[in-house]
Amino acid sequence: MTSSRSPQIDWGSLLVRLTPVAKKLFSQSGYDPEQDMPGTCVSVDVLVNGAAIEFFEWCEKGKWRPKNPNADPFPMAYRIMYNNFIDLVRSAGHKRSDLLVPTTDADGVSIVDGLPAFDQALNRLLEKPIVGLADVDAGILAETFYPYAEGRQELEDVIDAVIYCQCRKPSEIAEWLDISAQEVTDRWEIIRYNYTRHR
Amino acid sequence: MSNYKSDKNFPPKTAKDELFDAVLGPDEEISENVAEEIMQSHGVSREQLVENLKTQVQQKIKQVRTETGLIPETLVAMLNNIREYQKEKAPKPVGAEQWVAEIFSGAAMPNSHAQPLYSFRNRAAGEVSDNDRRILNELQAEIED
Repeated sequence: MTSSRSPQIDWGSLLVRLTPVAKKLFSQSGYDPEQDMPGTCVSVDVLVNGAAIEFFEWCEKGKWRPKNPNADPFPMAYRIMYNNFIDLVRSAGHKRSDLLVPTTDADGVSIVDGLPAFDQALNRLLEKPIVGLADVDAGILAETFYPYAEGRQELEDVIDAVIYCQCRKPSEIAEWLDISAQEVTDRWEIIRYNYTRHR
Repeated sequence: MSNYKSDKNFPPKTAKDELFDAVLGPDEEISENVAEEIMQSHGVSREQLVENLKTQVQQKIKQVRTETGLIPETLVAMLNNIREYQKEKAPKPVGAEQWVAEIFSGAAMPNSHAQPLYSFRNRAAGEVSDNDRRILNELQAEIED
């Protein structure tokens, strides 16, 4: 029997948002979202459903009490999922499995060297922020994102504002590009769609 | 917004996550429309996602029962919660007479009703073939007779 404490959850609305976000988390961490994370039995579906189950357990324990019946559970469920994902990436089992993955390609060339270029560039950029300069590290980051602009200048402008001008908040991006905050949100949605959609 | 009591210290977002948030928008603010479009591109509906969750919860219940002999009450409550949700979302059965009456009433048809299929051809496919055109002309002539 359903617990009287159980809230009414719009499972469809929750899962349809958690799943593309989980796919994005896999992709941005260098994992194929169509496969289990290496060294684990965790796929995007398992990650999402695990977060949904944990969220429901929180509800049953009274740790999530919506102020009104229409409160959106997504932010809470997302935080649980994000936390689980971080734990998974850091898990010892996953680290061990890394050692089993070949570190050279068929030609004997190291594939590890190429993998963290994005992270290396990001770290260097964080240590040495540049504004308005065509830095090599910034260029590496920008080139990573440009394909998802699909040649649209207005989307590349957002990427440039973030990478080259260190804008982080929508208000900063909007001010830099002289557009409205809503326009920033609209452009974000297109880039996100391009990044996460099925290819 | 909700007021929840957290017993977990959620990790702060990494610099990389913050960068992705700045380029793609924060994950927490993903709109349902975009999320749905992304999932449609993967050929997955929200109904399928709910069904997958239900299946996984059922498997976990079975697993716990097998391993411990106990019934995991929270998971059973969740399963019932999902079933209730699916029941609510399922189209309501409508009697034939009511269905026909609503069609001719001029009112907009509720979503639960099947929509008439006016054409099975996609406009993008171009003009109908000569053979199809001939069949249509013959049918038109028959009707007019």
